[in-house]
Amino acid sequence: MDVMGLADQPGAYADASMDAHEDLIARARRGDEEAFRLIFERYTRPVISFIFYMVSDRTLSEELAQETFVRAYKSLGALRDETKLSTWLFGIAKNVVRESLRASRRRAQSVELDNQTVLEIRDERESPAGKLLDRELSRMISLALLKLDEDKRLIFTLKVYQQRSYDEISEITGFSIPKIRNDLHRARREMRRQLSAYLGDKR
Amino acid sequence: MRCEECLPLVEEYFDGELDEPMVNLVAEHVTACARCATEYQKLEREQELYLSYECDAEVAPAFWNNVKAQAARESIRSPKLSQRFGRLFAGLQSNFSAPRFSATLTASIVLVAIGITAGVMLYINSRGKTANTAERISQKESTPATASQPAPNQVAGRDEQSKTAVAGQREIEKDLNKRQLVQNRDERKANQSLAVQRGTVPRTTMKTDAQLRKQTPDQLIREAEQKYLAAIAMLSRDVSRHRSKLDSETAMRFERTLAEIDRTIMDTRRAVREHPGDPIAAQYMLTAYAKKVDVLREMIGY
Ligand SMILES: [Zn+2]
Repeated sequence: MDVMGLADQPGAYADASMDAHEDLIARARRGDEEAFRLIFERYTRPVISFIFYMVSDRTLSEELAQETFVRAYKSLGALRDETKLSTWLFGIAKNVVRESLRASRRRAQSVELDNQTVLEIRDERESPAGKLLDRELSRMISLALLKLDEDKRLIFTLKVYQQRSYDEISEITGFSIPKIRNDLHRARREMRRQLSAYLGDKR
Repeated sequence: MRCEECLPLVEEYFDGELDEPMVNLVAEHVTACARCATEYQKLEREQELYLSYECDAEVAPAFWNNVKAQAARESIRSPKLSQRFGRLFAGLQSNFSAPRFSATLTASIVLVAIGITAGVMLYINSRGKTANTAERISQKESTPATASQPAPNQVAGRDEQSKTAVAGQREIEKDLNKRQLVQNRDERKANQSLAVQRGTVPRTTMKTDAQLRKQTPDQLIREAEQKYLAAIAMLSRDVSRHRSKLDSETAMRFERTLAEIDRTIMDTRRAVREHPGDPIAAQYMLTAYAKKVDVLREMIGY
C-alpha cells in the first residue's frame, strides 16, 4: 500500500529524509542538543553494549556511554565525513573505554584484583533457578573476555557483538586489516580454549 | 579447491569478508567437504555461545538528560565568577531547547547582557574612574549603529544611573535565577514591572517592555552584542594595565583561556551570521561574550 503517496516518485522520500538528516546535523553542529539527540539516540544501546563487553561492568558501561555522547556532542565540529557518523562515534567510545581501562589498571596496580571476585560481587541479583546455568556461563564468558588483551578484546567485541566488518573495525580502531584478521583469529582461539568445557569438544 | 586452501579461509568466509570469486569457491567446497563443514559449524556454535552472554546494561530513562546536563556543565565551566552566570545560562539553555525564536527569550538574554554591562560599569566607576571617562570609552568603542546610545543631554548623571542600574539588575538577575528565567509573556511583564516599580531602570540602559517588543530578535541580539563589545573594550584596557602584576604562569593561563574564548566567539559569530534568527546560535555567541567578560574581570581582580 502506498501509504506515503510516493510510490511513483522513487527516491523522493529518501531525498526528503536525507535533507532532514543534513539539516539535523547542521543544527547539531551549532550546538542544538535536541538535534544531536535525534541523530545519536539510535546508537545509545549499541554504544552501551559495546562498552559493556569491553569492561564487563553494567554501571561503568552506562557511565562511559554517557561520557562518549558528551564528547561526541562537544567534538561534532571535528567530524569530517557525515556518512561515517557511526564509526566516528564508536571511535570515541573506544577512546573513552581505553582511558577508563588504563585508569583502573593504575588503581589495581597496588591492589591486585581478582576478576572472579569482582564478578561475583556484581552478580548478586536474584534470578530464577533455571537461570543459574546461564549466569554461570555468562560469567565464564565475561571472564574469558577480560582475559583477552585489550586489542583483541576490542576487535572481538566489535566483530562478534557489534557485527562490524573488518573495514569498519579498522576505521574505529585505526588497526590495519591484517592485524584485525590476525588478532581476531587469536582471540577466537583463546576464547575457545577458555570455554572448551561449554563447547563440548576437545580443541 | 582443496582443504588446505579452504581451511585458512573459513573464518573470513564465516565473517562475510571474502570477495566474490573466493566466496563461491569456499561455499562450494564447504557444502561438499565434511571436514571443512565441521570447521564452519564450530564457528557457528561458538558464536551462538558468545551471544548467550547478553548485555544487561540499560539505557536509563534519564540517560539523555544526563548527557545534556553534563555537556552544558562542561561547556560553561569556568572558575569563581562563573557560578552565578553559569546558573543563569543553564536556565537560558533549557529555555532555548524550544526550536522557535521567541522575542521573550531574546529579551531575557538582552536583560542579562545589559545586567553584565551595568556590572562592568560599576566596576570601572569603583576603580576611581570618572563617569565621563567610562562614557567616552563606551561611546568610542561602540559602533554608531547601537540603538541605545544615550543622547548627549543624558550623559551627565550617567554614573548615578549606572549604579542604580546595577542594583536594579541584581534584583532582576536574582529574580530571573529564582524563576529559571522568564518563560512566558506574563512572567516577563512581571519582571519588567518589578524593575519599573523600583524606578531603578534608566531609559538609557534598560528598555521598556514595549521597546523590546518593537525590535526584531536580530536587532536585540545585535544590541546585546554591542553591549558586550563595549564592556570587553573597557575591561581590556584595564587588563593591559594590570597585566604586569600577574605572574607569568597565571598570565599565560589567562592568555590561553582568552585565546580559546576568542576562537569560540569567532565561530559562534559566524554561525549567527550564517543562521540569523537561530536562537541556539545567538545563545552560544552571547554566552561566549559573557565568558570573556568573566575572564577579563577575573584577570583584573586577580
Ligand atoms: Zn575441506
